[in-house]
Amino acid sequence: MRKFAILFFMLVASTVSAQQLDLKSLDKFADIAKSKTEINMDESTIKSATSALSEKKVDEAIAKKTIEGVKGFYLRVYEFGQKGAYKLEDLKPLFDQLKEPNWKPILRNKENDEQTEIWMHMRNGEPDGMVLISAESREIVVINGVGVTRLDDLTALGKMDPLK
Amino acid sequence: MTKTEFETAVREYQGMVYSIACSFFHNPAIAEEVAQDVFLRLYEGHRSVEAGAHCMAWLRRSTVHRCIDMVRRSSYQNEIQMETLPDIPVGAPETDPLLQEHLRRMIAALPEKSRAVLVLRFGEDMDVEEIGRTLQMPANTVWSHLQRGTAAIREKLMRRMKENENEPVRTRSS
Amino acid sequence: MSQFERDLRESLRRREPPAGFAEKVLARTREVRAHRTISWRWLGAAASVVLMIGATLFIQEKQRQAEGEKAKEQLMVAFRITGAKVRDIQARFDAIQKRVVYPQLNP
Repeated sequence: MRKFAILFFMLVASTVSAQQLDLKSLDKFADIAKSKTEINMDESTIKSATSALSEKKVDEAIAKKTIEGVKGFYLRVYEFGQKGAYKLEDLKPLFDQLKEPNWKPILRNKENDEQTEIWMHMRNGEPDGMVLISAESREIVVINGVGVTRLDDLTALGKMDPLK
Repeated sequence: MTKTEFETAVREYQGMVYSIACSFFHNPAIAEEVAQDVFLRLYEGHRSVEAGAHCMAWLRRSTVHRCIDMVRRSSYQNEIQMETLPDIPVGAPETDPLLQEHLRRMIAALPEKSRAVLVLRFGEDMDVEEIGRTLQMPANTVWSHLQRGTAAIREKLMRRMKENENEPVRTRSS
Repeated sequence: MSQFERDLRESLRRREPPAGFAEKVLARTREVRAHRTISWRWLGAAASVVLMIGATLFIQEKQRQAEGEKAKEQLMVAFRITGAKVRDIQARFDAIQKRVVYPQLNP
């Protein structure tokens, strides 16, 4: 079984769409990755995207429903050519930020150097964001959703066609 | 009418337009203002007015109508009451300038339609039909105004002269 | 013709306007002409401004639509990746659950 370490890290910014966790520590992975996907969508970009979504198209309708209330969406995907291109310790700066009191873990799993974590950001006792971190041996995925308050919202995205 | 023809018309008919306005108001300043306005209106509509007789008739008609309009507007009410006119001296010669001045004032004191008819009849030497076309009134109405206007002036003239005959010689009133 | 009529005609005879009257009239017509040219120029300028504003708004709307499409594409990529990862996580945790619950079936 492939040794995967997947870190899902979803960060949530509360009222402002800015990230609450600093993703700069991931920049070093961009230099060594075989391929990378970096998406930063603040509130105005999300509004702009929402205006172009069509409910007549299935996937866009799913997206439109999911994006309601989302104020920011930040994504990092780094694929590596071989195992061992990075170490889990390299992600420590991110995980250290989750030790703040307003971060609550929802799901944490570590198996065979594969790490998956889902955290909820709390503000005044109410959830106002979600973080997914997936760290695999050849891939790091960090997903940052601002204003996402239910895992079901992200689960709905699983119905989208990945090949389009 | 071209712009050149318009300039010619201004020079050719300025006397006519000014005279009609002056006879109407007996006020050179108002007369000049009216005359300028009439020519400006001609300028604005010069493309629809032909040079020559058409232009002359247009100017006469416009001048008279403008004068009548101004009289009807309260700001230009300058009717002189007959009774306030100075007396005509006894034995005034036939071509006495003072008599002329009196007559001009009397004409300027008439109601505007009668005034217009007299000015066009005796100032522009127009016949009754021409006056009727200019003022857009039937010939009978023109006659009526003509008679009423001349009768009023004549009566005033005679009355004043008779009153003066019965009085001692007076100095000219200022 | 009676004397009275002669007197009336004399009192109403033509008089020349003050000197320079014709020049004053022609000067005023030149002012009118200039004003009209300015007015037409202003109208033309105003029409140009309206057209420019209309064109600018149209271009801005097109740009806004283009930006919206671009943002939408970005969002869809982000969501597809997220959807795929969530499915992976779900599958992984389903497998873990089966091994825990049915170890004999999933060694």
